[in-house]
Amino acid sequence: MTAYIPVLLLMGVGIAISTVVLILTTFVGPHRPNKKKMSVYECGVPPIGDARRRVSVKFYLVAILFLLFDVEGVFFFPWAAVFRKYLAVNGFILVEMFFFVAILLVGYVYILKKGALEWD
Amino acid sequence: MEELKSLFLISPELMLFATAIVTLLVDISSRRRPSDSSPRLVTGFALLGLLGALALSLRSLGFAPTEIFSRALSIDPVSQFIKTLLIFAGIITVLQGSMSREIHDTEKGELYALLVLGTLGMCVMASAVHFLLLFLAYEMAGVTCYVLAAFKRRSSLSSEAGVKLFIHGSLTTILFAIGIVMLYGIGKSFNILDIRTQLTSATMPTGYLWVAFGLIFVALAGRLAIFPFHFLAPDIVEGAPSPVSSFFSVSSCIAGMAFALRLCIHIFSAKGDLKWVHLANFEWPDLITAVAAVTMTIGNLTALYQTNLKRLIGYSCIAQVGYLLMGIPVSTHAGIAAVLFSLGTYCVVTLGTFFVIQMVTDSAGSEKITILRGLVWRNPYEGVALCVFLLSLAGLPPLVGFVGRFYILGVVVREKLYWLSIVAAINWVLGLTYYLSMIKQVFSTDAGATAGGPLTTSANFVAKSALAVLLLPTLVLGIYWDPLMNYITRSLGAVAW
Repeated sequence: MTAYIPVLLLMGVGIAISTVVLILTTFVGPHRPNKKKMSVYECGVPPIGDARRRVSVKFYLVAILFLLFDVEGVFFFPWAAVFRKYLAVNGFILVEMFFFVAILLVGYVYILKKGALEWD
Repeated sequence: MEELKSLFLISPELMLFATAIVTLLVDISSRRRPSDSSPRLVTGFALLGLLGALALSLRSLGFAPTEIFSRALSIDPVSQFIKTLLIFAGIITVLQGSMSREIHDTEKGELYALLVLGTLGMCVMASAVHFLLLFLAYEMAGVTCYVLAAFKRRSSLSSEAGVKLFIHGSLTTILFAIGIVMLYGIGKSFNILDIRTQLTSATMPTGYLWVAFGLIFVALAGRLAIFPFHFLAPDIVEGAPSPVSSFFSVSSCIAGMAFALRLCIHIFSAKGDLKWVHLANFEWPDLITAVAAVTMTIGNLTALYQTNLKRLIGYSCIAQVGYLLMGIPVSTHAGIAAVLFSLGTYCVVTLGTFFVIQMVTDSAGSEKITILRGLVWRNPYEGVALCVFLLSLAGLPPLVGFVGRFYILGVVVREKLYWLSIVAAINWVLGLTYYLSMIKQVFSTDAGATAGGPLTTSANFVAKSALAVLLLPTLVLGIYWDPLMNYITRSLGAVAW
């Protein structure tokens, strides 16, 4: 249990820093609002229209597909860690990973052909 | 060559997986010419693969019980029987999908792939004895159901069904995981049979066992749509396209019953002679009998109010699962054999019911019960088939539904659970009410009943032969059920549970 005290310390420091900074900015920082400063930020240009617009689903698609293939990448790591040891026993470990990648490749070819990666 | 032998033993699952992959690949490659969007090629490949998987599964019924992959999968006659039922249900739902008007031709390849992958997940669920593999298979079956339920993108009912199933499934998954971890803590292993050895060798705190059992029971109830978690099932059956409703009601229930057997018989019971005895301080049969009684009653009572055909069948499926669940607390060989037999009959009969209902709803464009009016005068074959399936669901002799239910009721009475048998008998009669009212609609000769004309979806030879394949066991097994019952009893005796 005592091995976890550094974790507790880290948590405490993180919470402390963020709380202290927020308190300081609220109570100690200067408060001189004017109209330009309080307007909505849109990369420095005057804001165009309101923010209530439907967001296209293509952002979600890209994010989810990235997540899937990233998780596939995560599965590579433990395989790579034991690869060398098992290569000496039998070369089959490489073939196993080929099967895994081939299965996910079928999925990739599927989304490619269905146009899920088209941006427009 | 240990690995090759293991691969040979899971040949049905491998075939299912190959079918899914090939279906996906054929689906994306056959769209070179946009005008040629006929899904015949994809349907052909999907059905061919599924038939191959069925053949492999039937051949594997004779395998000796073994545990493979570091004791993660258990291949025994009972699990192979359940897999055969699942693959058969997959074939019929894929056929339904090919004939469905609710699903666009270009989307059928995805439908078949998802159905086959769902069936694969459920097959692994039926034979998994390692909790992590069981969890993974449960998830695989669940996630394909979420996507399938929301398949009709333009329909808000379908999206609603998908979202409801997703949120409900996520909740049950979380609780399932916590339950698994609790059992791991007390059993010191993820393997189900090792956990049972631990639980039977030392007395564990009852409260702890109840919490663990309760959490895993939540996952079971989510898959089977029984008492505390049956609320969303009729919405899903109504909103999803018909092939998916059929898949969700039938395959999900078969896999769920296999899961129930693993949970109740494998973990929390010790093996006696010709029966399994529950742990001394842990009376799980009480919970299961109470849940079965309540599920039956709720399913039958709520079905009386329904005006939507698919919702009505959804509630009737909930009641049927209640009947099936009655046989599990009676954990004798005869009881479990009765459950397995009834599972097979439930599978065939419910598939048949959904098959005809899909034809009627697609042709009429609506889902009210009144679309059944005069069906038998317009289409005699489909009308009579629907009546046979409904009578079998109602449990009338000489159809197979009666045989299954009689066996289950018999073992319940033999084990002296008299109050449960009275509840079941009352529900049997309650169920008759709405089944007979549907049959009355089918035979109705009101003015305007025959005005609809014959079903536009029924001129298909494949549809008629599929109905014949489903009708045959319903009629024949109702009179001559001995071979199947003996086979099930023998396989139950052979497994090393």
